[in-house]
Amino acid sequence: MPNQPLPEADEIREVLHGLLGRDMIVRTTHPASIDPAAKTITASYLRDDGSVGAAVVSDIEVAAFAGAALALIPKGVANDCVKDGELTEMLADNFHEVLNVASAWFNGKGAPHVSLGEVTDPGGRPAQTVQAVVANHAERADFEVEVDGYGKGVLRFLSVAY
Amino acid sequence: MKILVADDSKAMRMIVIRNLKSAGFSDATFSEAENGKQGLDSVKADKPDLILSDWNMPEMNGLEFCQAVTAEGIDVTFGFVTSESTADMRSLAEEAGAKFLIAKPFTPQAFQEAISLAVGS
Repeated sequence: MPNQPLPEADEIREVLHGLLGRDMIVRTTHPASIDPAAKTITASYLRDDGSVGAAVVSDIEVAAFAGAALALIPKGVANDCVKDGELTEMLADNFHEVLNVASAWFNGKGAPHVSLGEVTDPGGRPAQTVQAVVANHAERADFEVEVDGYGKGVLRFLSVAY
Repeated sequence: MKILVADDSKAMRMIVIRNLKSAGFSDATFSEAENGKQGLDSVKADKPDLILSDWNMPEMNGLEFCQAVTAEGIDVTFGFVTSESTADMRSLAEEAGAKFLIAKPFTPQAFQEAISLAVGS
């Protein structure tokens, strides 16, 4: 069975535009090593047998800007979250919904079905499962995501060998 | 037109309503419910023309909500907006009385098409 598919820039732009109601610029970017000290939000995506099929590692900027844009929350609130390294409950909830919808990108093309598993906040350590995926992934695709009127950050998608 | 959006995620309710407005329903009156039980109370009180409901919700899930609306004999167009859309789910939705099922991620066009077909049928 194939590994989970990873999204392309056009799909990400289209879906995020639909979710956030904002213009987006999404560019493929070269995968760089992830600074363990950086404030990131991680999400695991679990197969029906409970094993991890894929993961997302998002800069806090993407989570804050997307979460704010979704509910028309002022840019200043999002910038404060980035500066403090913490998301407000509403921004975290909003980005959780983006991560939930993102599960559709990992499904299809004959790969095993996955759904959203654990999401970690930027203050916490990435779940061990996500750390393992980062260390030993099959494929990875990184994108610079710019939310119009807010700002930009990097969103990383990783798949695990089936 | 009165539209009820039922989803336990406030963020998703906002997203659905924004997409409906983009799909040509900007003049509609929107109400929201966090679960099927709250939705059923809202249906009885407000008599909406259209219900858009998530599938997985606490208290009373979307399928139970749809079945309850049908059992009460309430004349309303019921559609699901869900993360998953398997053949089994579509079959269960239809049996319960739902007119359509829109899978996430969706577009305003998906709402426009599904609702036009459902209201027209």
